This record gives sequence, structure tokens and C-alpha cells, in this order.
Amino acid sequence: MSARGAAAEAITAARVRKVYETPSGPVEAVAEASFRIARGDFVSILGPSGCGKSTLMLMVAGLEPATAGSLRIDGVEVSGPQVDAGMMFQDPTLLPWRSVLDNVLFPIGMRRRVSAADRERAEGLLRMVDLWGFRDKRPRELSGGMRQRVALARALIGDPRILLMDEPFSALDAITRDEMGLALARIWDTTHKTSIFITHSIREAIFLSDRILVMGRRPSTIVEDIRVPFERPRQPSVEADARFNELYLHLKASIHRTTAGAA
Amino acid sequence: MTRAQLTRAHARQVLLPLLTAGLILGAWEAAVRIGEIPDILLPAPSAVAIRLYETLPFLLKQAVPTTLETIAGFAISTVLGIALAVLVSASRLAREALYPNIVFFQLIPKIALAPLFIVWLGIGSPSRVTFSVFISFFPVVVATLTGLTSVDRDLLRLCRAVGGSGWKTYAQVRFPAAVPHIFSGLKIAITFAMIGVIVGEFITAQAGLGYMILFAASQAEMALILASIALLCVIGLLLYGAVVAMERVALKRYGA
Repeated sequence: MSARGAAAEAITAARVRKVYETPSGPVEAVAEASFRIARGDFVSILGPSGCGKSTLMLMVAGLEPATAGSLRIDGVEVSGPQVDAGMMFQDPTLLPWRSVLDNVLFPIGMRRRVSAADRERAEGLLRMVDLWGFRDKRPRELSGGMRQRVALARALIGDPRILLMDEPFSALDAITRDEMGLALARIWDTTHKTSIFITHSIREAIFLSDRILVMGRRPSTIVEDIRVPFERPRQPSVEADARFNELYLHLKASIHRTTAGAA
Repeated sequence: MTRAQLTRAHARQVLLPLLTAGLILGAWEAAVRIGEIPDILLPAPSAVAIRLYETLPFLLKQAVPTTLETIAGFAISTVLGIALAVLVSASRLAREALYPNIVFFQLIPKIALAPLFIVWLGIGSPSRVTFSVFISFFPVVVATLTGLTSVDRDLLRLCRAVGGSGWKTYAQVRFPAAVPHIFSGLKIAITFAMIGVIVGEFITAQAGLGYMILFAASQAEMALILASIALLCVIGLLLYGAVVAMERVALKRYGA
């Protein structure tokens, strides 16, 4: 893994902290998080719900300002929405009144006029996510997994420098979820986008990632940083590897420790 | 279900309520005839129908201002209601300053305020249309606001993340998402607009079907009252149907 562009750091978080002011007093969403993500790395943030991983992603996206600490993308301090970040959420958040193709083009249309080149790129992305035949359909005519694939194509339309995904598969059934994992791994292999993938599925994290950050709860901070030893492109067969299971048990214990401490 | 079964189920949906209505009218007719109820108290449906037929040209002439004022009140309510909802949803200051007042106004029995409009605007058409707007625009505001604020939080985040302006977010996301909600408000508004005009006609007493009802009552012309009401029902139904037809077209485009 180190062969691939280890030189440049795409994302640097130094003692990032987030406290929300609420009517019932301040709520600490992220106590302190520090990490570095190299360009072209796929990094999962794994943790129990309520540990602040979504907040951390929103801060990287520039949608929530950090209360303290420093967050840099390509050396530049994040101070506002990162137009160069593609985003995916738990819900596909497609526009029901637009066709699949027009949904993919949505981020472009929000900024400027859609050009013929944009259209071509969107068509290419739809081929990549295997939805070419569905380009003129409305989202309601698609299955949950297909909708998330539209959301992935939409996230990639602006050729973003980083890809931020907040539990994008957690609303899907187990079988679709596995298929989506495979599809994402395959697509990632062709794009090599620097990615942050938030999940609470340990298997998904191991299968997809170059690195896994485990986030704890109370205090909400990064408790572990593990490199995943498997080769790319990833094959489903890695799950049969003894190290996969070893890693799985290790991470499971690690998460268990953070939740046990809090409860 | 087979096609025949479907047709039968459909026919049932139409025929059953018609049959019920027919039975009620029949019972009414029978009660009046058998009980020898005087016309001045309750005329038989047949008497009302005859009266409606006789006076139809005259009643239709009275229906023109009622209908036009209802449409005008509804149209103004639509524009004003949507504009106010956009303002309230877009500006925090406007929301905090206006929304509690809007909710408070919802609670007043608005019909009680009708005489004020006569004092302010006289007894002409502007007075009735304004009162109609006053009655009918709250449902549009509330429904539009619900629609504009129902947009998924993550979708709004995405709009900001891709660098879309607030205006673009309205034009491309929030407003289209609100369309189905807006129509549920408009369906209430069209009926309320008519109520506003009729109440206005009651108290301004110049022309229109509302005025006809009042006039007929003063002459103890029960059949004419009921004939006017029957015509009002038909007009109300047609106006409501027109809004539903527009809704169908809009939902084809903007529905989920």
C-alpha cells in the first residue's frame, strides 16, 4: 500500500474538537481527534453510534466548524463547505422528481450550467455503477441499493479530491449491503479517491479500507489506528483469510472496550 | 382481481354513495309529502329542483360575482401564502417575528372579523375579496412552510457542500419538494375562499348567491334558499375539482 503516493497527506486533523451549544447546555460531540490520511487512502472510521463520527465527517466537509483544533485538506485549513468533496449519506437523498441522470448532474447544476461534457461524464459514471439502463427512470422505480449507487455516481460527478461517506449502506438489507461493498471496492479501484468511510460494520470496514480508525465514546476520540494488510484489488475471498478474522475479533474487542467503559 | 371484478369494485365506489344520497332525498321527499310539511318550513327536493330550474338564468347571473371573487381570493391567497411561507422559512428574523403571530391568527374565529372589513374597505368587491383572502391564506402558509422545511437535513447539507447558493437551493430543491404540500394547502384554501366570499355577501348584501340566500330568507322563500345552496355546491365542487386537476398534473412532475 505504501507504494501508492505515500508522500502527500490529503487530510490532517490535529486535536479537532466539537462542542454543540444546546439550550440544555454544551454537548461534546468530539472530544479530541487527531489523524492524518494519505492521498489515495481509503480510511474507515469505526465506532459505536453516538461517538461523534458523523460530526467528524461534517467537519471535514466544512459543514460544521470545529470548536478547537486544526483541520486541513491538502494543506489548506478547512473554513467552509468543501466543494471538492463528494458526499454520501445513510439515505440516498435523491430528488424524487428528477431522473437518475439528472440526479447525478445535480451538484453541477447547483453551481453552474450543465454542459455536454458534464452529461457525458454523468453517463460514464452511470455505466460504472451499472445503472446505464436506468438513466431515465425516477428514483422511486429503483431499489435501495440502486439508489445508493446513484448517490455514489452523484458524489463522483465533480471529480472530487476526497470522498466522504457516512454509513451509506446501513439502511440496506444484508445481501444488498454486501453487493454494495463489492461494487464500492471495484469502483474505488478505478478512481483511487481519498476516502473517509463511516460505518459500524467491522467486516465492511476491513473489506474496504486501507486503514481503520476506531472511535470511542465518552471521551469521543480516536482510540486505535490500524492498517489493513490485504492486497488490492480486494476479493471477497479475503474474508476467508485467517488475518481477516483475527482483525475482526481485535476490532470487536476494541469497540467493546469503548462502549463498556461508557455504559 | 380480474378486470370485471375491478370494474365492479369501481362501480360500487361510485354507485353506493349515489344510492345513499338518493335514499336520503327520497326519504326527505316522502317525509314532506306524507307529513304535509309546509313549504315555508321545508320544501320537498322536487320543489327545490323546480325552483332551481325556473330561476336558473337569474341564479347563474348571481353566481358570476360569487365565483369570480372566490377565484380572485384564492389566487391572491396562493401567491401571498406561498410568498409569506418562503419569507418565513428563509429568514430567521422573519420566522421569529412572524410565525408565532401566524399561529395566533389561526386561532381567532376569523369570521367574527368580517364586519371590520366593511368598515375599512366598504361594501364593494374589494372588501369581499380581501376577506376571502384573510380566511383562506393561512392554510397555504402553513402547508407551504411544512413542505419547505420537510427537506431532508442531509440533502440540505449536500446543497451547501456542492456550493449551491441559498436561492438555487430554493429553486431546485426546497420549492419542488414543497409542491405536494402546497397543493394540500390549496385544496383547503379553495373551500375557505368561497366561505369568505359568501360571508362577505351576507354582510355587504349587494349581489351574489350569498346575498340571494339572505334575500330569499327575508321573503321566506325556502325553495329559493335551497336552490341557491345547491348551485353553490355545484360551483364549489367544480372549483375544488379544478384544483385537484392541477394537483394531478403537478404531482406527475413533482410527486415522489
